[in-house]
Amino acid sequence: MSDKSHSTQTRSTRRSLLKATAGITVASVAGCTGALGGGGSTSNNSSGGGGSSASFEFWDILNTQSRAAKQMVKTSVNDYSSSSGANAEVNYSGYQQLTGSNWYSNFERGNGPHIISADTIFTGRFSEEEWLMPFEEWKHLLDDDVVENIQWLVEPFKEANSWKGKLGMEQVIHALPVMAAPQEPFQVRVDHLEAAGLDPKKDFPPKDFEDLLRVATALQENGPGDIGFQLHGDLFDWYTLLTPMVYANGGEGGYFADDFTKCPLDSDIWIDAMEKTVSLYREHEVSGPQTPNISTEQTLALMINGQVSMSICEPMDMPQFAEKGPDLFTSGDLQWGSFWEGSGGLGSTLLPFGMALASKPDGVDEAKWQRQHEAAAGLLNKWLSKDFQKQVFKNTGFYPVREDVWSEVAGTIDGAEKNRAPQVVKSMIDRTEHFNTTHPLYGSFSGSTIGPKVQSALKGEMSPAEACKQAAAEGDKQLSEYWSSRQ
Amino acid sequence: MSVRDRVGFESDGFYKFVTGVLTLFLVSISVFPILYTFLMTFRPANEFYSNDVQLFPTNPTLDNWTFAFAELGDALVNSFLIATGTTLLSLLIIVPGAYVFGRKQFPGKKYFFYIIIVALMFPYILLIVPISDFWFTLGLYDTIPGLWISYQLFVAPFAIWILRDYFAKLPRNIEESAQIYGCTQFTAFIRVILPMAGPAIVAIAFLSFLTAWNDFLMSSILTTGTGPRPAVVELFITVAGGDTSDWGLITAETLIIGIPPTVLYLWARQYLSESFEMS
Repeated sequence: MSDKSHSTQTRSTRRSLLKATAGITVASVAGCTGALGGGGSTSNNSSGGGGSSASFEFWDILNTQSRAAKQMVKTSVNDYSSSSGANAEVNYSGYQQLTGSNWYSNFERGNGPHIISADTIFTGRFSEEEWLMPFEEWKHLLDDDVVENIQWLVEPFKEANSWKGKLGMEQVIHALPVMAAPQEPFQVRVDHLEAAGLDPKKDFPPKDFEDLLRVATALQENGPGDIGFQLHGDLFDWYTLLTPMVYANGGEGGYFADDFTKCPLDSDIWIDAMEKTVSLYREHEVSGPQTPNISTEQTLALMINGQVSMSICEPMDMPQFAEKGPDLFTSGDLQWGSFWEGSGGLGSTLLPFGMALASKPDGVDEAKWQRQHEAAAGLLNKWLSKDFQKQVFKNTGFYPVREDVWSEVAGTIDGAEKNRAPQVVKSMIDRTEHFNTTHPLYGSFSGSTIGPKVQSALKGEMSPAEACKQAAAEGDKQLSEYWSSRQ
Repeated sequence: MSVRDRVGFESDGFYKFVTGVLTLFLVSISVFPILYTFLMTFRPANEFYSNDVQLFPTNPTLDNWTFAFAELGDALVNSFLIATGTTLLSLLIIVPGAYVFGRKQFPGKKYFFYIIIVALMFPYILLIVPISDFWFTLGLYDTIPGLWISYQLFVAPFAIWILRDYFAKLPRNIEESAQIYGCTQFTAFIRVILPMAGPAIVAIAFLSFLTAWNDFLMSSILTTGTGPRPAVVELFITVAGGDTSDWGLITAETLIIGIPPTVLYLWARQYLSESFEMS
């Protein structure tokens, strides 16, 4: 090839490269132009269609529960969009976005969505800013059969919102529970119980703390597992045994007293429960060496591989048990059991997962917002429909809130008759009197204040009583600062 | 005296054997974790918590890969557009800037250069809140151009520093020679200086692409899931979004996200070596 032809070819190649580069740039600009429409405020101001064809934004947390949960959310949104003509733009988020600055700062700028789904314990800071609409204002958008079948929770859930009374919003519900989990049921390896000479029908679930200690000791000493009963010290799982014990003993398990000005963790009931919990690890040594940091997710792995014989994981771990230990789960070698009832009733509180419609930001057209709200409420109705609710427990571990599907839930779980997961969770919901509060400090207080104290007590760095007193003092201070800043 | 003579090896065969074993050991330290990660991507969920230590999955599955691709699809396109645009924009800014600092004289040159370099000394986290608010006001929040511009804060100072030195080391009289042959100052820059600085420009482009492709800090703050969220943020949500650890999905997504920069590195490594050698 001559130099000239080579030169021509090189120029041609360069030209092609330039064209390609230009193409990429144009594509990028096209992409970013599309992206410009992604923000909430832009979407709100875009010329959305009327009625059911409106476009709305949905910010979701449920997708983080499991692959099946994410698929369920996607399918529900797609089905709803196809059937209604509404266009839902979904922001699949994680807990960091919800509890950190991402969601909050976007709401603050008026760039929030039209509808959210989240654990209701994390919605308080959005509702106190009035970024979420009171349930009573959009209740009429729910289907009649939905309202009828969730009526059982509306009144009790007002208690979880009682803190708003001081802000002039007396027991106003903003995020409506669409599913809920009782905290917490026990799980046991039935094959370990039998190998340890225990009777699965008589010896499980434990009837009180002394019985728990007896069964755990027998499992550890005579069973095939290394650990009789695994506690959790993880910052976000430390409460699995402790809080139910407080409730069962008649204490205030919700970290804050009824008037939300005091933290009751220095009460005798809390200190007693903390001492008993810590003793399982430090004195009786029936909980494994990783106790100060272990999470329920790590424990379920140890239960599946047989190192742990009994524990108290959250209902939301159930899909992971089913996926990662399918044989144990369906054969009944893994079984669920209710927490015990004490002088204060069942040791349990309900953790609700809710949905809420957002308030209209300033500067957005009222009529258009109304259309988008109606479209968003349609998705809420979809999540509260019988078909969706029936699948909730299987995919997320939360129990559906619709009463009329409860009898059908067990049929969606493989081996339900043997592992008893749906029956136990359902029976605990029937007997649970409390919902976790939606107070804005609740989530951060649990993970950032009490959690480290519990870990210190488990590590022997301070006594259980001292841990309770220090947590209570810090809780009092945080509540005092919270209310002072809102006067 | 050679190493072999100093340590007293008596035969070539023994020397080769020892060096071979040592090399294999060192290579396996690097390769084994990647291989293990790769094999994990084919493992079904119920094999992750098995009692037996297994290198190969008993019932291999492609579920993790198909789910990961489905999850990352749009985000990978976003990442590509963000990284490519950042690279092009950075070259537009950096190449002329570095040339001027490297080969031209003007009053206050040294101080202007220090001002640019000082930007490297502060933690980037300081900039997040003001940029976030400023971008929202300008309509750049949750947009690809917003990310292109914000990444210049990371990329430009460091790249100007490197490229300035590269330009400065080119022969002093090269532009004058080009001008003798009829070039203007501008065409001398385009036709002579730029081709000579090719390896350094490729290196800068690679670093820009890598920065924008892998960044989490800016992209997590400046985007939402309804905007141009890149793949790295999706990976973070998979890793730490909830309570569960889906190891099959985490490993598959990690490898998918790691492939484009790896391919780019393999293509650019010769230029990178030349560039760093000269700098």
